[in-house]
Amino acid sequence: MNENGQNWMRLDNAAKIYPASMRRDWMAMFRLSATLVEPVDPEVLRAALARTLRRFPWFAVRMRRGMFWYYLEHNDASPVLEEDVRNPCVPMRAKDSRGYAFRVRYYGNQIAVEIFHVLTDGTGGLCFLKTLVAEYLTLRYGVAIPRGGDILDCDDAPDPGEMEDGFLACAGNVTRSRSEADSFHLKGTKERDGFVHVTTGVIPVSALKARAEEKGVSLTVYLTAVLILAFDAIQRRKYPRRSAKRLKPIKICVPVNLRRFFPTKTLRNFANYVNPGIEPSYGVFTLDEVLSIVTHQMGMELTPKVLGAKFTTNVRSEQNAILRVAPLFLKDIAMRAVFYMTGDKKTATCFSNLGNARLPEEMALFVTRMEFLLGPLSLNPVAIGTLSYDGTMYINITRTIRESDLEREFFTRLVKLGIPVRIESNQR
Amino acid sequence: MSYCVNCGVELDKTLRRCPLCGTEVINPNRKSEPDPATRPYPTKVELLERRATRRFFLLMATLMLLIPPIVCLICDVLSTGGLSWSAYVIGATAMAYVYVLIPFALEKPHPWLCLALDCGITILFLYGIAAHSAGSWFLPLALPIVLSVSATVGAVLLLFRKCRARFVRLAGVLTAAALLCVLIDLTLNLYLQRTPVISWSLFVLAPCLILALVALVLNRRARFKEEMRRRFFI
Repeated sequence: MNENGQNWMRLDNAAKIYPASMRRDWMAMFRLSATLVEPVDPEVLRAALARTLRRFPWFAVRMRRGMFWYYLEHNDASPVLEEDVRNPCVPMRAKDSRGYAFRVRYYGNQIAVEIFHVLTDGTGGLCFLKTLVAEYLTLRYGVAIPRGGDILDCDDAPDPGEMEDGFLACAGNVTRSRSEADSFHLKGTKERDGFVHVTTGVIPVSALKARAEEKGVSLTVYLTAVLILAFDAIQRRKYPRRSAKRLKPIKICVPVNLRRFFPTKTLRNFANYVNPGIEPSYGVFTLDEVLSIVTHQMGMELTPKVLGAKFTTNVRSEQNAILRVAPLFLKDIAMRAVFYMTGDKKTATCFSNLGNARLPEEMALFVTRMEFLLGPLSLNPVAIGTLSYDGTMYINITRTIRESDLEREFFTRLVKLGIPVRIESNQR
Repeated sequence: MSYCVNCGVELDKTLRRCPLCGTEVINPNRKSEPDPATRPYPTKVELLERRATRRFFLLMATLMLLIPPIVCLICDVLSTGGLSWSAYVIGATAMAYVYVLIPFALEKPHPWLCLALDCGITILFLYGIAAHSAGSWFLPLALPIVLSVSATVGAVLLLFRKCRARFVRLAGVLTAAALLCVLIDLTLNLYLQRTPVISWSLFVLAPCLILALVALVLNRRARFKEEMRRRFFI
């Protein structure tokens, strides 16, 4: 499976935290889906999945515990293909998924993959979904889809470069402190049965782009700024008596695809994040001010030097001699503690924009819609994932509490800014 | 298409309430309810196993288990005027509780904890019987045998957790069984004849050890090395 022909591989640097931090009722997952023009044929999808898995050997694995680290072992079982359910990203049980760390689901015209973060990040997942859909369309309709870019040819042998740990390959020498202030968090009534609410905002990219261009910023910056203001309004409304000094900072975790900055072909985890945000105790910010803050904060962080120093810190921690020889159960305790002290606490939510999903024309004829959805976060009750396809942006807000304040605040703000929003939901 | 009067967002035609504010969608022009099959989400909901069911079963089982010892205790006290034979029932019920219900009560399997608890409660129960019947067999006989059995089970458990090769596991089980027989034999002889000799267990030891060696020889393949490398990489 790996470059030495072994049938097991190590977890990449970013993946190491996920098994340690998972709980009975939570694991870090995300979901990508594509909607086709006709109902999905499960048998053809099964055949397409088998072919795709041969090309993505780092998906055909089960996670196991070693004495010192978790590792991924080749899995020969046939992957589970099942009908979709209303609530996405329910934690996987190894016995239900035959050991796999992902699952493929279908419903009507839709094919969806739900992936445990230990395998790959959003970009790698999108590549998997596109290749799976391309295989499906080839088998089902006999269309010749040009392979290349992030649609891989399943007749090719897997490229070892796609399986490398990009963090190790690109780490430098200098590290950077991870310490920063905690952020404001939403609170609410937990759903007793763990139901995950999904609210999808469907937005024409042209309208959003026009607004963003007016201000001279990117779509991600624009949406992040609106999101920050939505959280700010919620905090001020919920704690009207809290003196300005006691208002907590509002920061949003924005994952960054490192492949844009570093020369690697890896399709496993290779992302970092920036946490742009405001300090509400300074006063009420206007949209223009927040746009400027977010643009500059991101500009300061999004350089190969700063990003490199950030993930080098994690790589150095992994290479620490004492940590390496500590037995896995001790590492689990330590990593869980680090995760709860530094992870979700530092930000109010995660806003992951996977960008624009482009498909070759031959394939686009059969695909009407593509979506990205983040599974619930560990601590924060909301998470936001967006993907654009064919001129439409799908903003998926995942929520584990009953109160829908954030969705309301965020989407009505977009409407007030002149961006039409259509809402879909998995409400019961 | 409908818009939420409160939020100003367009609502998908399958929605009956605005997901943002909960306002009901009232559209006089909408003639019929949307077909459930065309809703953008499936109707099936996947739920995690509820913790409450386990708790509920545990509570019920605990209450049920309380019946026999309490009934026996009442009979005992009424007939003999004190605690005599019912002590055995109470002890046995406590053992049943620890053996069966504690492993069930734990969220994840904890074989080590269970083994320690089982060993502890068995020793306690046997000590109780010995003390109650003024027997002298507890220290020289019961305690060593219980400890030997627990140690053997522990060793096999460790082997099964650390090693997946079937033949090595088989060899381990055979060796452990043979050693346990030797220990029991030794304890019995020490107690009955006051001499540390082994007798019948030799007939178990020899074939078991030979079979274990056969299993180890069968296991000597290239995969063995790979397995070790995988388990212990740093």
